[in-house]
Amino acid sequence: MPLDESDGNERERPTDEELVRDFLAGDASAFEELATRYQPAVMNMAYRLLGNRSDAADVCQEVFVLLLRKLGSFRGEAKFSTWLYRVSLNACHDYARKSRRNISLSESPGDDLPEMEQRLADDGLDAPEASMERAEVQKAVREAVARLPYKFKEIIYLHDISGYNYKEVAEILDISLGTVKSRLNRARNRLALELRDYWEQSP
Amino acid sequence: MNCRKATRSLGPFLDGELSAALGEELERHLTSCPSCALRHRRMQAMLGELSSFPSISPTPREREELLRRVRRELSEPATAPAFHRRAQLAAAAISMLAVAVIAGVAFTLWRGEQAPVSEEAVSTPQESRDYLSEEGNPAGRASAEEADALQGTVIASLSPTPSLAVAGREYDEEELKGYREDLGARLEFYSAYWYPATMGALSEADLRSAQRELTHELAASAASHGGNPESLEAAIETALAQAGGDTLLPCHAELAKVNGRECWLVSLSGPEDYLLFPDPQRPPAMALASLGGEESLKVSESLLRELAAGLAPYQGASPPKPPATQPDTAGKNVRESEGGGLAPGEQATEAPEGDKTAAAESRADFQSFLRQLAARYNSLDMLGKLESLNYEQVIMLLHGNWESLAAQGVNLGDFLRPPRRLWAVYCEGGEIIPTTTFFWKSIR
Repeated sequence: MPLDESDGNERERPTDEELVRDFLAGDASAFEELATRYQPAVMNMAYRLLGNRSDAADVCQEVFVLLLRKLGSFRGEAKFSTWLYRVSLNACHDYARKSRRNISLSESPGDDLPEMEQRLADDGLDAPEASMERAEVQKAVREAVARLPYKFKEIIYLHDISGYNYKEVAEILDISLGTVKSRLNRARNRLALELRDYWEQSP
Repeated sequence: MNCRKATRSLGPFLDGELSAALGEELERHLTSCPSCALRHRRMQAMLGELSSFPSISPTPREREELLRRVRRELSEPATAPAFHRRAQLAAAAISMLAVAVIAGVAFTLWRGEQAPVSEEAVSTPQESRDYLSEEGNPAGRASAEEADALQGTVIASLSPTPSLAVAGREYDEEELKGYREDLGARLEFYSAYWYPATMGALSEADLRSAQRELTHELAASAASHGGNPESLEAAIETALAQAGGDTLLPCHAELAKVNGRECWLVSLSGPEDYLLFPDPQRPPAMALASLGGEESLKVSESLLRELAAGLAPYQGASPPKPPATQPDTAGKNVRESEGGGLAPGEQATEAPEGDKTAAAESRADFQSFLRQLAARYNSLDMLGKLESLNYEQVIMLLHGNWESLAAQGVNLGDFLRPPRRLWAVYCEGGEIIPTTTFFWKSIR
């Protein structure tokens, strides 16, 4: 999921920054276009961080309402998408705190989806036993991620789950490249530690 | 390449971010080191699983609901949301202040009952030490003056000041391990922040905002004393980043010299600082403990494992699993079992059950085993305390099951101390001075 997934892919499509400018100039439909464009990315982020589809939909709405109020302060120093993801991450964090639940990449993302919508890799190709085993591994990993401190979850989400590169993660989290590397390393070591019992018990 | 470097390089290697030369070096190490090869395989599998986490797409209904919400917001008068927000914030601030005052009063009363801490008692390390050595205090001694001072204490507890020293004192690494200059600030911060936080008077957002303010306050204070505020801010940022994701508060900083180079010593206060108090078994402490954190054992994990193995024959239990090498939270490899000495696992499995003579011999063996441990760890005191635990309780200690231990009447203060979150960061270059980040091994 590259940051610029929606920027300038089609020549006739306005860029994010053009839409922001249009909205600030009074064109309300420009904001609707931004919401439509980024709803999938924001919902996915919230879903993976909060672990629940209905929470993800709520947070997604909150993010765009927040965006409406904050857009005036968007100075274009960062790309719109970077800025939006930063706002979204904060919103997820706040939502989890307010609802007094552990932020969980994995309270069980996946468990509340219709079966067809669950995207296990190689779905349908594995033997049933292999699929079950795979699902078990995924569950263990999700639960382990859920036990991580938020800063670790955040960086694991951005880099290892969503595939942003170091530089993009640094931009979204507004931290240095060095911090990204060291934090990611620590997050992964911690995750590996969380998974140690699982690995030792599994054949 | 050694195991420590290999462990650090695994992530970048799998991300394709390691240089070719280092990559080759790592690959060579992996072919000769089974434990790093295992770590490599597991990390690879873990990253594979993470990259295939389930994703969702908005349904038509969710798309429609979002647009409806957006249109509703767009159609509201522009000032309304801002006004509502301000009103909400004001209401929240008022209620938070009320809760904070109640919590502060409760805390002050509680402190009065359990072990009063005067402003003087926390002002210097020496006095703090004196306080820590107290064994409680007779209850009901609150005087009229103390009652009058209550309101002042509450206000003070809402605005503690981080401590700063800029004398440039030289420390060697051993001295840093015994660093206590931050003790007063940590005690003060516990009463000002962490206790109210457990009572719900301070939210995570408040703590984060306090974190920023305290950082600025320390930097401003450094500037007014001739220190470099930017380098202190950077050092605090480094310490916070090293501490992981928890919201911790910079409570003390000192401009010092280590290895002949100028550095900032930055101490962070955290919720587990309740362990600095003499009686950590009271309910608020347990509430804090249940929030998790990284309390540290005063005793090494390997000693506990040996003890558990030594105790196992009396309990008919299996000795704990042989420990494995694992990275600790600071990325340093810690071998949990130290080589040599006894082989407690064998002792445990070989002990005959139901045979009185053998049991007596086994007990004698156990006493001798304890003596050997005491000699090896040079801690008769600790061994005496550990001897009073049964097998189950030793296992609880190993697992960090503090609540159950406290429920069984075990004084957690005997075995646990709060993590010392002291980082030494060079002013120039910003690197962390090795060994100062993990004085005490975290066990979670």
